[in-house]
Amino acid sequence: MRSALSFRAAAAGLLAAISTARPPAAPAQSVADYERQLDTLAAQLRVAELGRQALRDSVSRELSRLDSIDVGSARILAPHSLAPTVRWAMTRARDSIRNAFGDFDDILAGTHAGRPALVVRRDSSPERRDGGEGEYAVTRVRSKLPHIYLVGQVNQQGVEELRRSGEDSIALAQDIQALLLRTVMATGSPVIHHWMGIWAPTATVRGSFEWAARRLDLVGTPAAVARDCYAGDTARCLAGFGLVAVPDPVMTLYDAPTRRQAVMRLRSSAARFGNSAGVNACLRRSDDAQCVAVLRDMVLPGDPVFGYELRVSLVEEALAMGGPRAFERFFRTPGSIGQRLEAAAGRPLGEVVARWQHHVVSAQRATEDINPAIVGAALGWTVLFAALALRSTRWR
Amino acid sequence: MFRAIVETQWKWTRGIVLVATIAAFSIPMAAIAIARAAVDGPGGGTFSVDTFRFVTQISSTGVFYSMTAAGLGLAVAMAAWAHDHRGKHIYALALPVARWRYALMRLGAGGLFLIPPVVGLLAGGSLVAVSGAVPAGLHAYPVAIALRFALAALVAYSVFFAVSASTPRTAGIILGTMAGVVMVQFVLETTGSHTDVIQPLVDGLFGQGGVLSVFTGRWMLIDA
Repeated sequence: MRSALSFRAAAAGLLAAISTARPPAAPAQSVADYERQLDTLAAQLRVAELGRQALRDSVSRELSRLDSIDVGSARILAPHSLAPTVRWAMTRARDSIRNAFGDFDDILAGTHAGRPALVVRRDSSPERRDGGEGEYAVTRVRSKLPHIYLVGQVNQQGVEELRRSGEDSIALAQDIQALLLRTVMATGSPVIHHWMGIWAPTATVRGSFEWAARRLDLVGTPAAVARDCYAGDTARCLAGFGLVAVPDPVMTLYDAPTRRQAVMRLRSSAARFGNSAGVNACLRRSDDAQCVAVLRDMVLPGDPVFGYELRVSLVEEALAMGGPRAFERFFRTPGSIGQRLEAAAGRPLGEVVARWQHHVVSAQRATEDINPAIVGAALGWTVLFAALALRSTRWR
Repeated sequence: MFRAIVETQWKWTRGIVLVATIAAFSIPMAAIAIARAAVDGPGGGTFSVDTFRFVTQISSTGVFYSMTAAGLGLAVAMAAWAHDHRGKHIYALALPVARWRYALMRLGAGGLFLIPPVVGLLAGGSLVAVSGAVPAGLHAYPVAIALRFALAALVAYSVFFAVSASTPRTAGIILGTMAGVVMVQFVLETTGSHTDVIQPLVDGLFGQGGVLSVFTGRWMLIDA
């Protein structure tokens, strides 16, 4: 805490010196005036130098408490006591990324040079409230700060924080992997940003639970194209993903009921754009012309109707199809998302979408819980126990 | 004679059946109310629903169907034999029928009393289905869940009917076996052994084809 205060004092001195060290505003009247100004500037420079020295000392003190751990091109600073765990977790995260996504050392080297991630024990944080034993936070410096001075000041502006309870090294490795992946994603093409938003693919193999969740995402999408895609029309899936050009999206991708649903979902945004009257006419009077007008204001041609989770799941399907370094191909291939998906999967886009569609549609259904096997087993056991009951010997 | 048995058994069982029917009818209503409350934000409407969260909430209420079915089966089976046990089976022995025939009639009568709760669940589920509370894109499966409920109640009923119909010695053997398995597991754990004798039994009971498999899985009134 003391070091934090000394740093703030030093930084304040430095900033004050810099802010006052301006060139003379008015022309000097004489050599003596120039000399006086020169003396003033020299004095200010000395103060600034002292401030800089204090800052350097302060940073050195902080750094002396940390180990710098390099694995590949990624660098993480961590307290000495956490260093072995962090090194193991970093290696695992790096290997995991390499195996599942590809080699991004060049990107990480460029981004981490001035932006090391910090692993901080929550014990050292002045804002710790929960009193949890051994809890830690992984933080990443977002902006290019000149100095590493965020130890113990996590969750402040400019710091991203992931928090875990306990010292679970596998969880730490997952945190680091997510952090590194997001770092890679942040350097990606705007095309990828537009498609995936803040999401990064987390695995190349999805379980039935995830597919079931995506199935619900699909059926919950308020658009006729989602219903058609779920019913088995792969071309409509492509349209819903925005992977093919559609002439009039509002009329092509929606029908009247789903237009109303979409307006219902977008009503807050529409109202912010000053279109409350149109929203009310659409929703209260079921006026489809008004729904069309509202949506035409809100839906951009070429924008995917399917949400981020569905889009990320399609990327993950392509990665699963493409095998090693598929994500690297997706990430580095120039062009549209469709071209990137084809490059990642090594298959035509239609095939990737068809396989994704198969997984989504065949995810577990409620009605599948009542199948002939369950009915047969239940009836079989019932008959068996009934027969046992009839053979009871209680009366003998 | 079967009619007489049904009538007398109904008097012993009707309270249980009434409670179970009300419970079965109410579960779908409660489930939809819980799910809607969880997903409806301020000003939220029928169309503005997080379907995944909605279905997760519906799924979390599934346990009440299986518990009600198990409780119903247990209570009806116990009620079927309670008076015979109390009267030392003199009434049954006085009747001019074979023992298996008498037990079959008791079994059939009790089985009939499982119907009202199943109908109650079907009615409650159907009411939810037509209420308009199911979010767009999702569907209600009242028939499927009622069928599953009926099967689960039937299995529970037959198991407990058989246990109740058996001799105290047989019931003791069953309970003793269960206690013995737990004891063996306890001893194994205290000696540091990693052998698990309970899990294979649980897997056998609840796994595919197991006697209690109908109770497991997702009891989803509403899904895609």
